[in-house]
Amino acid sequence: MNSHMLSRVADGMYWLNRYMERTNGMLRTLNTFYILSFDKEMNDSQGYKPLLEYYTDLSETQIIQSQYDTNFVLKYIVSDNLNTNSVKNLVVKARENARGSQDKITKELWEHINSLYHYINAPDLPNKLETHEALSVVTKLNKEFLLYNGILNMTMPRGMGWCFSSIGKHIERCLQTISITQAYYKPINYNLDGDEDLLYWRRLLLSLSGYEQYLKSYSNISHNRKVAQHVIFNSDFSHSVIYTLGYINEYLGYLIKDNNLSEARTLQNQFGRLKSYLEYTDYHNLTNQQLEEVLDNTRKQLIQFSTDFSKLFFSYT
Amino acid sequence: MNLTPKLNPKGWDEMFSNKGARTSYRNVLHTLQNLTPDNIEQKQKQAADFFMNQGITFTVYGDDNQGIERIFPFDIIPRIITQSEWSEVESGIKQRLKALNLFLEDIYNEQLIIKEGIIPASLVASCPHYIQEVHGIKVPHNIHVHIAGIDLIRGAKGEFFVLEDNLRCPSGVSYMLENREITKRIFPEMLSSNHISMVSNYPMILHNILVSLSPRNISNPNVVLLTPGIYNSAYYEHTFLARQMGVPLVEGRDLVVSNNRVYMKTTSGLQQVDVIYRRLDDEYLDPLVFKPDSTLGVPGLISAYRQGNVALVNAVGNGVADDKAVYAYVPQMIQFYLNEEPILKNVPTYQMENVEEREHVFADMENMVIKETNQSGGYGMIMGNKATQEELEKGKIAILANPRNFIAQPIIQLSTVPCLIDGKLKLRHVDLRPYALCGPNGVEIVPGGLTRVALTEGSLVVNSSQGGGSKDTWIVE
Repeated sequence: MNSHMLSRVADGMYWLNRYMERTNGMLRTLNTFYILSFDKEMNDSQGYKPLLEYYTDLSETQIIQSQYDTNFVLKYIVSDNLNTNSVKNLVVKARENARGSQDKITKELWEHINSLYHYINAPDLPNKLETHEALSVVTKLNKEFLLYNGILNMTMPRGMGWCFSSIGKHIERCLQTISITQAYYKPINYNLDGDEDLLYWRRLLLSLSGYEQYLKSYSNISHNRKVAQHVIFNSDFSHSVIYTLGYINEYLGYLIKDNNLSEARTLQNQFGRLKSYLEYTDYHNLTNQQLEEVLDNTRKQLIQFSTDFSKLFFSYT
Repeated sequence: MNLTPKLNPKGWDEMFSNKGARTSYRNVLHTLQNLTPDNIEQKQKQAADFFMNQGITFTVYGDDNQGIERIFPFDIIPRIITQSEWSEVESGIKQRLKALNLFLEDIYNEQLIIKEGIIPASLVASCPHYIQEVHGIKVPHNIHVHIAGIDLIRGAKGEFFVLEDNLRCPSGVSYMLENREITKRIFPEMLSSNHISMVSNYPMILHNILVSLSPRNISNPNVVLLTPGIYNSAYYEHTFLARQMGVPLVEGRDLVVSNNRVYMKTTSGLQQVDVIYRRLDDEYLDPLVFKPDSTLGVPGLISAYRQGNVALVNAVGNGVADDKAVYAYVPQMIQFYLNEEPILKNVPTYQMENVEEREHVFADMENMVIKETNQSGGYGMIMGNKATQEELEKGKIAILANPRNFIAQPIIQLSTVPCLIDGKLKLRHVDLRPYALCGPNGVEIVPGGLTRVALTEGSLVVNSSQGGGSKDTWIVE
């Protein structure tokens, strides 16, 4: 592996993949909630609230007003220029980062991001979201992101750019998993011994692409503890917290292998502590309070790690 | 489809003479005749999608400040130049570049051409692109112009003229290469049957030249391409060339000068840079020497360059040789340095500093094009036959205020090549920009170039910034 690349370009590849992963997660959650909104579930007390809370900067009052308003949510999440985190704005930011690192990403990847940009900027898209075509738009966008990940995997060289891309992607994924998980445990006071049914947890699991795997892996009783085990500690689930931390650790190791700076060792130790904290948590005997602490501490430490990671590798100004 | 456009009896059309289609275009016309309007529309759409998906676009901003991306128009009918015509172009450009390189070496050192009275000292001294800061500099292999885009036009009898020499940061080569790629996709049958010379080796030749200029005698010198950034209109080209050559694409903020050496900031510290293919104009290269408020360049770069620790491509100060007033002296340069007659002719050029020539131009403004000597891209130009009386009067006032800043040339009816417009063949004026590369082993010109088209009927302005488009350019046996 080439031992160096431009800091600015590394930064661009890191943020390209953070934005794309964020958009991917947001669209998957939107798709899940939108499809489930057609069912009149008895226990849907949240509507689009978890989506709006994590992915937008709407106030609490605004969220309460719009948490069941599908038309508003679709347009606000997908195409609203004023929402800094709309799919449209995130794709624009991703493309800007892709442009800045265009000589290090493959032609195929660039062309895909570019065609996605043109699709999301089509003048008639907001109107489509107000019609029965909305579902096909959301479905297409979800497929485009699956395709992005496929192209990324199939065409990008496994060098430093790949490491920065992977770390960006998995930091974002880990933060999404933690936040969406918190959105479902918080309303039930992190009660691991409660009896919320599968319909309650289905929304969380589908949002994280983990529903089918959950059904295949766990018995159909006392979901509250099993779901926590699945989304946080299951190392075979590609969206679990432990899996994403493992991925970050692997690529951090590659980046730091030939780096003799003391700051690099400090960063590696910092991340090691974060990962070990979760690895050595006994989830079978986890208490409600410990669950809340695990999620909260991991999120805070990961945000601190991403700041320190950027300082070490991207401080080019 | 109508394949017999109405010809202009005073002009030269490259596809048709008054006796019918020229031999070199017969295969192309045969293919076109077999296409239905639907086929043509589909091919045009295919080409537009190709450019759009690649991001070969520019942004137009509307009233709502929302940018809309547009492609540069591409006409799917190729422009054909025969091998014998090309041979003249090739040898003419080689001769011209040899002389221009000798001129730049001379003008920044001995200045024999001034001492001998061939070029007036005042003309050089008043040129805004003559860079005093690099006087006395020695560049690798005495090459100042490594990359040149010489603009050629064809007159009423089909003869070639040099319109201008672009010796600083000539752009458009990515269009030459991408136009060929899209033509391969939309007309594979035409390409396989026409024996067209290859252009795709341009990035390899350029990379070899860049490597050969390294001041450090090491096997794998660090070559970078310096871009002003993603908002530059030629950014696509910068990324394209960097990718094709496998060199890092850097911005000014990625580089730092320490101890008169240039380094790039990488994830594992500073790495020394040996050769910079810069796509940044001289005045933005180094805020310590040129524009102090510009953040595009690298503080200390000129000092490192003067010390010979980094090579800049093209060299600094080349603008003095492609100044529109100095252009008029290129034939004399060829005679002075090479003792040869110019192979390619200049367009007659009148210096507005010369009172007699100025009076002549003022008396015949309607048949002249007035150009500002330090402008490009079709800006600062008055077409005498299109301008209003008021615009002509304003032009005269501006010329009298600063005559050194203007030249005039008789309006030449550029040759035409038919374009597909609204499903019909229509004549449009074209120019040609071949790209020449100068290295230690001499001048190499890939057989082809960028054909720019003035898409508005009757217009002679081909610049993309003024609504121009482009065509693939074939050199055929």
